[in-house]
Amino acid sequence: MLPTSLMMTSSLILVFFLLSYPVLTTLHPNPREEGWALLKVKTAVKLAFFVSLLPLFLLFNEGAEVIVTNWNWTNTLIFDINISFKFDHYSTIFTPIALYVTWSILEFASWYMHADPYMNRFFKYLLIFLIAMIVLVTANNMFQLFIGWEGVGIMSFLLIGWWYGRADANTAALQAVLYNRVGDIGLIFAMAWMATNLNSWEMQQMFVSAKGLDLTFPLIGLIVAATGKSAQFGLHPWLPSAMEGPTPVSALLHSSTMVVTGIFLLIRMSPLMENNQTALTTCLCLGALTTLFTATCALTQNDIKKIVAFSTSSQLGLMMVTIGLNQPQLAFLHICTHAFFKAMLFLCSGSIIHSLNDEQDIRKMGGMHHLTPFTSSCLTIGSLALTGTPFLAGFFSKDAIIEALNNSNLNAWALAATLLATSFTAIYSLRVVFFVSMGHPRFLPLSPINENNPAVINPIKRLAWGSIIAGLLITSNIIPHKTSILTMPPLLKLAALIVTILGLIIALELASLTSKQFKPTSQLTLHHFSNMLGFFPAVTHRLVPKLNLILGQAIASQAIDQTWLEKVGPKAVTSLNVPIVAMVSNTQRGMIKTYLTLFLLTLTFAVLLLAFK
Amino acid sequence: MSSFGRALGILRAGSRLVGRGPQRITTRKAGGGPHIEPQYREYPQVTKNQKFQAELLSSAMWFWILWHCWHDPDAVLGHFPWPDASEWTDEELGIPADDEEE
Amino acid sequence: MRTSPSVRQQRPVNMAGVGFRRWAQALSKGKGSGISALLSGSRAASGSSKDTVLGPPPKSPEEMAAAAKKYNLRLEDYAPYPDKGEGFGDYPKLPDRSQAERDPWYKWDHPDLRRNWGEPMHWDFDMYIRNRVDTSPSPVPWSTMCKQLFGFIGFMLFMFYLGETFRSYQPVAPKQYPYKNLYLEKGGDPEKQPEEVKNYEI
Repeated sequence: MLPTSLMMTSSLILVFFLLSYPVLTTLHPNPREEGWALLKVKTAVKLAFFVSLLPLFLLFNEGAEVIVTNWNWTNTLIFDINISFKFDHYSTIFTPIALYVTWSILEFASWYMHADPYMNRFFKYLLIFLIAMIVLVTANNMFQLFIGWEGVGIMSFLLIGWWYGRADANTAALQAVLYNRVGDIGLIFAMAWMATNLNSWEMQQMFVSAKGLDLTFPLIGLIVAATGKSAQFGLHPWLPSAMEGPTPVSALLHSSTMVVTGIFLLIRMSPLMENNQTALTTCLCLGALTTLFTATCALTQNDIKKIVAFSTSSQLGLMMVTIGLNQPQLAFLHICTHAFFKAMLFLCSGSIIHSLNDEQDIRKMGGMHHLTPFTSSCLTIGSLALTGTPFLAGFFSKDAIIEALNNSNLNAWALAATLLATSFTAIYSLRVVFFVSMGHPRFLPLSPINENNPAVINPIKRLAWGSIIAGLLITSNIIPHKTSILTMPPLLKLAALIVTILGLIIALELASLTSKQFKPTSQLTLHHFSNMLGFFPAVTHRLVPKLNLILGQAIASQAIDQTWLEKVGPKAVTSLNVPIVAMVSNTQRGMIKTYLTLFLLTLTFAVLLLAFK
Repeated sequence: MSSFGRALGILRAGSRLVGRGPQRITTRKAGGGPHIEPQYREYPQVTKNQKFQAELLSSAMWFWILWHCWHDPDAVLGHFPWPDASEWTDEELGIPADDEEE
Repeated sequence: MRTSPSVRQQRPVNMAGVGFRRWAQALSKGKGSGISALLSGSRAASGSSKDTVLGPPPKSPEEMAAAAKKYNLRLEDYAPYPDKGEGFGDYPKLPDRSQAERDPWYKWDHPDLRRNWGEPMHWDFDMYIRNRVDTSPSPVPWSTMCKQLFGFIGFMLFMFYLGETFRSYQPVAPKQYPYKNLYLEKGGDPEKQPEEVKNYEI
């Protein structure tokens, strides 16, 4: 083995070891000591991050990419399942980012969750989630990917339902698990198709043997899987509901890592997809619909976490659009930059929520710039990065995506919807900053406002530096797979910036409108549409379960009872037997003639039988 | 005995009055960072460190943006100018003049 | 009076003899044969007790009052299910309101289910618990919600169809490369020369 690849594989195995060690120690029956979470788990993640930098530098320096097959799990004559890891540029770049974000979030969680009696278990869950995530990212075959996929799904369920005493948290966890199972059906379908038609789950073999086959069905399965996991339109309501979980969970799972796995799956499978126009168009339209719809929902939300959640969903839609443009690398770039600033936005909102006695309503905040200067500046940086301010992290991916959109031959409405959603990004980001940081305080007079804790400042600071410089760092080091368009008309080049600035101006205009309102206006239908999440959860979550449960009730307790007890079971036996019994007993009334007739009849029959045998 | 207790109570109340006011930044042993009392209807205490960090980060962001705007404006405006086809001359395109005979 | 065996079991020990004697009496002078009396009198201890089993659907006002009392309801709140042979018996037909609709700030005996002790349950209580069907009133009527949502989806689908017909693209020529557009490098036949491409016409 070459020294470079040896170094890469061994350091990534070291990462796995470092992460799983604290989990393995929890198998020991002794209770964990008080500081286990911060001392062991955070340190392990931090160490793993520094170890994972080595392969990253090797990749940037030498372009080293390795695929390792360690062990043959099971094999039949024609079908092998291996344990094999893929350390290509996707996994090698994403692993350190995931570790970096998790490191910051764990440190933040030690402050945010300090009153929780089960903090050690919380950290253990986060760690298991992280391991599953890295298994998913480094998987080289579908089976391993599926393990990681389900692992993150289960941990998401457990972590959303962390405060299981609250019915809302339970509902949200159930929603997440159910919507994700819908997506899993797609993934399992695609995997079954691959196993039967391509005879392999190893990615390279799949890509080679899939040439010339019609891949529409498995690709639709994969898109359904990505729709469930990445909260695309139709299966999106679980993501805003998942905000019932603790804020560190929202920061780690529902913004930066877990929700992007659906997009990551499509990026991994992009060699299958690039020649299938149906799948690409589906992705494009689905992504455009998602990004517009969820951005619209974000416009009028009042819960700060919900706004950030909807902006996540909108960015996921943008990534889906990029997949539909057949630009998987750009989607990956957006995953990477998005992880930094979105995790930071969540941490900032967590810090503010905690400072204001668990108040999440942005209408009851205000003036935070003077009260928590650090958090609110980072909130502003995150919002600017999200809107794609030049040279912050979001710019490098978002601008590239919009450019690619403008220069491709694509569905005109998808383009229009995406541009509209981009300007909405500026509107809701400004709205958050306007309501939270600017103006005067509108919260309760007694508030334990204090952000002076290294466990708050340090993680946010790290992620803020990340959201400032990560975009340039990654874009200047990544090797593009597709030749980008070098020149384009200035209008197209500046399109992303123009729509963002337009959105900003509209938002400022609307914000100033509120201060000089002449008469109270009744709430518009459009406002209701946006504020009630497009009526999607209201309609589907009431209609579908009700119909299902009523049908189930009718079948289980009424139809089955009717069928078995009334028509087939005891009553049927009665109704069958009673006439016969009545007939038999009615003939036997002591009439000697009847008996004689019967005797004669029987005799005749017997004789006839014997005679004509 | 009761007068003694009352005196203690007055003392305690007095000490509470003296100890009031926003200037109450005490260091706490267990956790990191200064411990700031929750304030009632008052401006919460903001430490210098926190202000400095906030301003450092914001200025770093603006420095980063402006520095790159100064040195690398092409990333926003486009690296290469879009060719304007209407300004191309016949000579550049190799199209002979209309009156020229073959 | 017949005493069912399970009730007898619940009695204190010194009552056991009395219970047994009654049971034996019931056996000896029961209306039917001994075995059938025994069978109809006995039931599994896990089942519902006699006073919680559904009664026949009430007809007269007295029966209604008795049934309402049985289910801890006032007479004006009590309405039985229509007797269509579905086995609802005298069970009260409660309004179709979900638990999510109930006051979250009231001191419920069981705050998780938002339910008081002894309160009659809806027949479909399992459907209306807090993480299933929610019937709480919405600011917008149901029909409007459905119309707007499906209208939005329909509009988007129609626009995507239109957008697919009238595609947006930036007119750009394919990339051109030197050496006759990399003829040899792209695996062209070195023997044959590619035909000249003329991009203009005079």
